[in-house]
This record gives sequence, C-alpha cells and structure tokens, in this order.
Amino acid sequence: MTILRGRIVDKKGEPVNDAVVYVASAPVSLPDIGALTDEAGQFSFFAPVPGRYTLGARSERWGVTQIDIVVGKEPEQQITIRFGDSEEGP
Amino acid sequence: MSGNPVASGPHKPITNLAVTESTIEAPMFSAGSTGYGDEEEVEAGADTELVIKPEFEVAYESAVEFKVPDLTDLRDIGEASFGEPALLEAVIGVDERVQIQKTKLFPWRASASLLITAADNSQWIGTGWFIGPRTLITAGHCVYVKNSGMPGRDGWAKKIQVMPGRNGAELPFGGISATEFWTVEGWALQGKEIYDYGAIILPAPFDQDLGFFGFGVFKDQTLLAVTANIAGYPGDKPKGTLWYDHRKVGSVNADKVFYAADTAGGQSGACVYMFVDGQRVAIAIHAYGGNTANSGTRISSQVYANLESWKRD
Repeated sequence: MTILRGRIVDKKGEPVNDAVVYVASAPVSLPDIGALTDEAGQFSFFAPVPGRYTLGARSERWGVTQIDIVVGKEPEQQITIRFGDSEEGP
Repeated sequence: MSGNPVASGPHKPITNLAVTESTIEAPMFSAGSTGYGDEEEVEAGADTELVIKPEFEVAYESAVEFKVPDLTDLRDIGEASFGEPALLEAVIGVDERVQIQKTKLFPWRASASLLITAADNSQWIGTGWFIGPRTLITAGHCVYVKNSGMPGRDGWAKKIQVMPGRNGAELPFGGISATEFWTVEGWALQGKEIYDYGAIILPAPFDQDLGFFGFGVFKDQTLLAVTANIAGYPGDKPKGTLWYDHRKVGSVNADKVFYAADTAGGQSGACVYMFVDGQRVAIAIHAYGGNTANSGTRISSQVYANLESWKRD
C-alpha cells in the first residue's frame, strides 16, 4: 500500500484549497469518495496496489483536471496536480 | 421467510454512541414515502426516472462487459484486488449522467450531499439517502474510515453535514450536522468491502417532510432483470450538484450489486434503486468505483435488518 500525498496548485504555484480530488480510474475497485483539499492545497489518498491510477481534481475556479500516475511499491509518493493545463477553467 | 431477521456475525451493528433507542424488527420490504408536495413524475410501468438521457445509451450498453469478482476470499479493502490489473474507470465509456435541477422534488430531496469531517479533520464528500425522517443510509467508509494508512484518520467521522436536495450553492432545506453514526463489525473491525454500509442519525428531522426511499430484499433473478437507478453528488461536477444515471443491473452476488451506471468520487453512499409499481425501492448502497462495473452493497436480509433497526422518527 502506498500513501499518495498530494498538493494542488494553480498556474502560479499557489495552493488551491477546497478542491475535490478523486480517483477516476485505478487497477482495483476503490471507495467512491472525494477528498477536499485543505488551506495548503493538500490531500492524501491511499493506493492499495501498485499500478496506473488517474486522479481527478475539480475546483470551482479552475474546473477539472486529471493526472495519470504510476504507483510503485514505495510506502509514500508525492504528487502535484497543477490547474491550468486543462481545457476547462479560466 | 418466517420471523424477522436479526443481523449477526460481521453484520452485527456498532455505533459511536451509547445505544439509547431500541432496535425494531420488520418484514423484508420497507415502504418509502414521497413526503410533502410534489413528486417527480413517474410514467406507468417505468423502470427509470423521467429525465432525458443522451441518445448513445443503447449503443453503448451492449458493449459493457461485467466481470464479477470472486469474493470467496475477499481481503481487506486495503488489499482487495478485483479482476485483471488494467486501468479501470468509474465513469464507464461515455459519461451519461444527467444533472438534476428540480432537487426540491421527491425523490431528489431524499438524497443528501454529505460533507464529512474525519478524525484527523480531513474533509470528504459523499452521498446519503433517507429511510426515515432522521436516518440516512450511506457507505460504511463515509461514517467510519478504515485502512486509510494515514495516522489519526481511521475511525468514526467527527461529524457529517447533511444537505438534502442540494443544488450547487442552494440548500433548499438547509443542513444539519450529525454526530451519531452506525456501521457493522464487518466493516469497522474487518474492513471488508461486502460490509461497507452505515447510517447517519440526525439529532432532529428536517422541518419539512422530505420523504424517504423504501428498500427491500429481492431474489437474484429479480435484480438481474431490473434497471439500477442512481443519483448522487459526484466530485467531478460543479460543487454540490446532483447527477443521475441508470443502467440495467449487470450482475449480483450474495453481497454486492454490479452496474455500469456512471459515478465518480463523492457518490459513495448513494441509493441504488429500482421501481416497483411506481415506487422507488432501494436495492443497494453505492460504494465502489474504479472497476469494470461500479458496485454497491446489496440489501440482503442482514443489511435489511440493520436498516430497519437504524430507523428513527
């Protein structure tokens, strides 16, 4: 199991709080719950098995974006999701 | 079936509060109520809600394959692995969800947006649905975090803000914060996906009679012939908006119902229901995505017994 510690930032690298983060696709069945980022734009999920995951994030200001990641066998993995690369949002 | 079922074994209910109200026993079908005022129209003999879906539904539905996982040796959710290790999606194929605008109507107002505060103060979104004036059913992982791997996070939620009929920033019935929760030992102690269901008990009912879903226990053959309807509050859509989808039930086993209806993170706990003589009757509690079919905890006789015992007026 790997802990995914993430941070969501905008184009300027500023943290995006109150964004929803969710697992859009995964190698295994996962709880269909969404995490809210804190004031530092941080969130954390766990990935139960190694493999390819797609994390989605949605902010009222920035819209939706997704990031594909490969999870290995490390106990912890850092992730940064950057808004602004998506087709949606300002 | 003779007598009333009593949940036992891994279905033995547990709560974060001392029990102050007695449980009850009931038959295997619990009727719902439409509550006050208007109801979303239902066509005679319909098995879905009367909302317009995109036209590509039929073409895609036949392409969906259901691969039922072998649950005979189910491990904890932290280890559970179903099917081939491919990239699997909760929104299956084309996104067919439809946004519900008239959320003040039944049955939409009988579902609620949940803002969950976990033990470590992290916040999460989910969905719940009423089975009585003070009781909402949801996923077990919405009321009791299990196997998170994060220090201080596992355990009972600190509180859950319940917002029925939410439509974006609009809360037509307001919100109530709840701190009494129930789940079962199979989830809280063992973390097994097949026991992933729970309840939220409100300290008081909402001012208006919002109505509630019926629920029942049905045979495999019945479930395999019906359409699974699901509405919830997905995190990939504008905040706090309610979205609906429906698809035929793909497969069932003793503990789970599988369907290709689209969902996304935030819909955990949503009501999976069918129509019986024009009445909406829950058959499962949506809990999992990211597989070849999304899935919910089946309302078995044991689950039914707990839902009945968790009802509060």
